[in-house]
Amino acid sequence: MTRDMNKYLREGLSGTRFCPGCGHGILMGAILRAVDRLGIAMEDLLFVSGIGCAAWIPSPNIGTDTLHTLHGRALAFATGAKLVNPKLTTIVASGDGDLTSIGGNHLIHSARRNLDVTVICANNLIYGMTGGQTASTTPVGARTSTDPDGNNFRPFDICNLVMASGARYAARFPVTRPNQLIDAIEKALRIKGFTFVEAVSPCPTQFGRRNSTAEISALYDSVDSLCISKAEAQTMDEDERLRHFVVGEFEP
Amino acid sequence: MTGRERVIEAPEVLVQGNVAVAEAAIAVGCRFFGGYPITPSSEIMVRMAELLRAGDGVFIQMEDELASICAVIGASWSGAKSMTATSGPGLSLMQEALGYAYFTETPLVLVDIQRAGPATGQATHVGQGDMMQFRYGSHGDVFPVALVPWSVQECYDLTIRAFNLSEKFRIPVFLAADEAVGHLRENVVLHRNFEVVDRVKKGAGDPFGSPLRDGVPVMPSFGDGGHLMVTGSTHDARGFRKVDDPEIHDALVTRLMRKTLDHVDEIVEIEEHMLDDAEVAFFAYGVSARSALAAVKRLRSKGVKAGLLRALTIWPFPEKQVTQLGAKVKAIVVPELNKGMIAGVARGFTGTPVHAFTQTNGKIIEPERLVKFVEELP
Amino acid sequence: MNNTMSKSPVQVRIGGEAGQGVILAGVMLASAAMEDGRKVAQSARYGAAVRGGEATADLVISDTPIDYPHVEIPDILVVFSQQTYDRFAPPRTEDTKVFYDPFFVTPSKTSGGSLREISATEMAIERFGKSTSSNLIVLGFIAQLTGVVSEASLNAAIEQNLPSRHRAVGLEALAMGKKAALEVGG
Ligand SMILES: Cc1ncc(C[n+]2csc(CCOP(=O)(O)OP(=O)(O)O)c2C)c(N)n1
Ligand code: SF4
Ligand SMILES: [Mg+2]
Repeated sequence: MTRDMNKYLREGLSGTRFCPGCGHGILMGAILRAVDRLGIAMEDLLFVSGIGCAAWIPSPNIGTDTLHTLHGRALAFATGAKLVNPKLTTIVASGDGDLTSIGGNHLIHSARRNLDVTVICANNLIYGMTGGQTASTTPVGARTSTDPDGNNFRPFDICNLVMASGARYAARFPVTRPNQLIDAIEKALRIKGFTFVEAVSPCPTQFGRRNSTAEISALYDSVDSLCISKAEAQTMDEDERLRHFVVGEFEP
Repeated sequence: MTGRERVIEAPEVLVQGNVAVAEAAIAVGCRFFGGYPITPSSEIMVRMAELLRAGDGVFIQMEDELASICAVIGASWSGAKSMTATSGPGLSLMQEALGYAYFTETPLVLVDIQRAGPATGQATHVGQGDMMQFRYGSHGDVFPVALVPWSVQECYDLTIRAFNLSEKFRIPVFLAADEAVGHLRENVVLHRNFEVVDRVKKGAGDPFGSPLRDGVPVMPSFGDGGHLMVTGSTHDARGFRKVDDPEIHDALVTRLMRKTLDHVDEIVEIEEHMLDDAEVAFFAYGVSARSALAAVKRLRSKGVKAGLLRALTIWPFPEKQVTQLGAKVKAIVVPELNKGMIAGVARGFTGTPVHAFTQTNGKIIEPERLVKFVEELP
Repeated sequence: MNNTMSKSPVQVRIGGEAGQGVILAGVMLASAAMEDGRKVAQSARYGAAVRGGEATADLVISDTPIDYPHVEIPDILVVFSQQTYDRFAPPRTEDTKVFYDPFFVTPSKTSGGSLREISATEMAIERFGKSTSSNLIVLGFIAQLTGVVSEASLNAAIEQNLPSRHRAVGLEALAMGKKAALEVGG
């Protein structure tokens, strides 16, 4: 952090709790930079998260109001908080498992209602906190603690899901491309209504170890190399596309 | 206005118990309702939708009960007195979040209009089968507050009390009503003759700790600049997660317990009917207490010295009052629309025989059945 | 027969099929009794379906607070369906006054209590072209014959409980019931 992002960190904090090389730390920096660019006052910011490693990105690290809730329910809590105090710029930052599996219903309904929040989904393709179990975002063939021979089920395309449900904006970028990620978060925060940013955020401990490599730079390289543009995606058949991350912005 | 002697500040009106709940909520300052439809509670949400939208409040129909209770908690932290209403199946879904509300000391009111369960059961028929769910529905040690109305007037008055207790003690409070009372229409006065208690938003101290053993911390709202940290994980006084510290966990669980248990005398409300010379007494709550009172009068007219102890607060349990009742009478009868949930609890507080009169047919108890039951007691 | 009003409590049960206005009739009667300055407890039993199936409205009217809020033994029983007639009549006491609509109910000869027929459905169809205000015709009829509520209060209940576009028909239906009662005499 070259610009002084420390002012956004909570007083009395003693370091974050992420594993070395966890993408969630980079994502946290990206969120703070976007907030910094917009100059949102700390009193006007509310972060809501569920349960999981990703849910620890704002809580307790970010020195604003933070609401660390139940597994899956961040958007439901955010609904009440935001509707009662519409002045709050409300950012829901949580994991892929939290937002799309146990909390999937709240995700689509919040998008349908066009709840005025920005959702940032830290997608590490797995349940990090509970020990690397298969998620609704795990790629076909990826190995997890519950699918050691590879996952058989097709993952959600979360951006597609929220756009189909009524989101005003969605974007997907890996944490390996921080500038694009920051731009996307900034844009999402500027747009009124339900906006969504999926950050592909490698988990060396639970995903990398079982799949490509636990070596951090190699894992980051492999994630980055799987990122393709929408145009590239169109040249691929579905199976091949599903093994990649289509990055970019999705607008209605 | 013929035939009315009583001077009342508000006129008597004919409303349903469920509607009285909604009117009370608005009167005491509720400004947020999140809910999901379920018989026999839905009239509450419909009325709340009308009232909140007509005023400065927020009504939202959520996608399910999980979302409803969570939205209510979020709304409460944004500073609004908040409520939801449901029935057994919905209450089951809300339990995880109720534990969260308790542990984060979030004021809210949950109205349960009990129907005949388990499962989907008989949606339009009465039951009192959720009594243990109020008490033990959440995992971990929780010491909840549950109030039980027996009339439409009490649907109004106890909803107000539920909000006041919840704001005072920063605790979720149940209105443990039932279908018979919720759907009953009676004369009721929707009065304004009550005290309104609001949470303390500003003051000394941290939002999640107190130097007092039973202390209630201040509760700022989101957006007040307090940089709140709300978490359902074990936390210190400021809100920092402390998931490995044994002392902090024990101290928090204990203080929360004492918030309820050190204040039982204030929270517990009971009513005595013809107990002075009673030899046999009903201990009853909700609509079943009305059956019991009718039975007491009939038994008295037959020369049986019967009485009634009615609980308006069922949790925390009126332990002391049941012990005193046991010392006074030869037998206690607990009539209830379940298989003896509260009778079982009462037995723990008296050596006097406690007889369960249970009825689970979706109907309220006919007084004659209670008269016969008492007459046939050994 | 005009002595019911002085009794306290008075227990009224109205039975029929969901959709026949049974519950509305119960609410109107409760509203009128309250207008008369009395205590009421009005409740309903019905199935989970919105239409069809049995529906019962109970009303207890009293000069003192009401303990047991449902009907134990009706003083007045009104039935709009054979099913509810068969279930609730013959009553357990000779004192029950039974009112039935012959369009739906054929009473058995062994019924106890007093039995009165009121062709409310037929009258409603003849006058209004549809059966929907038959419940109000019955209310006008029983109010006149039993005095359970006053005529003025029943009229006021129409004002309080019906949307304005239905009030004229409602008042007329009550009046038709009253007239029918005067014709049969009490
Ligand atoms: C009701 C409930 N079920 C299960 C859990 C256990 N649990 C905690 S975190 C988690 C998965 C989190 O995965 P994700 O949201 O993807 O976050 P990550 O840790 O991967 O960042 C689960 C299943 C829980 N806390 N609550
Ligand atoms: S387990 Fe994975 S997601 Fe969780 S902190 Fe470690 S690297 Fe990050
Ligand atoms: Mg994950």
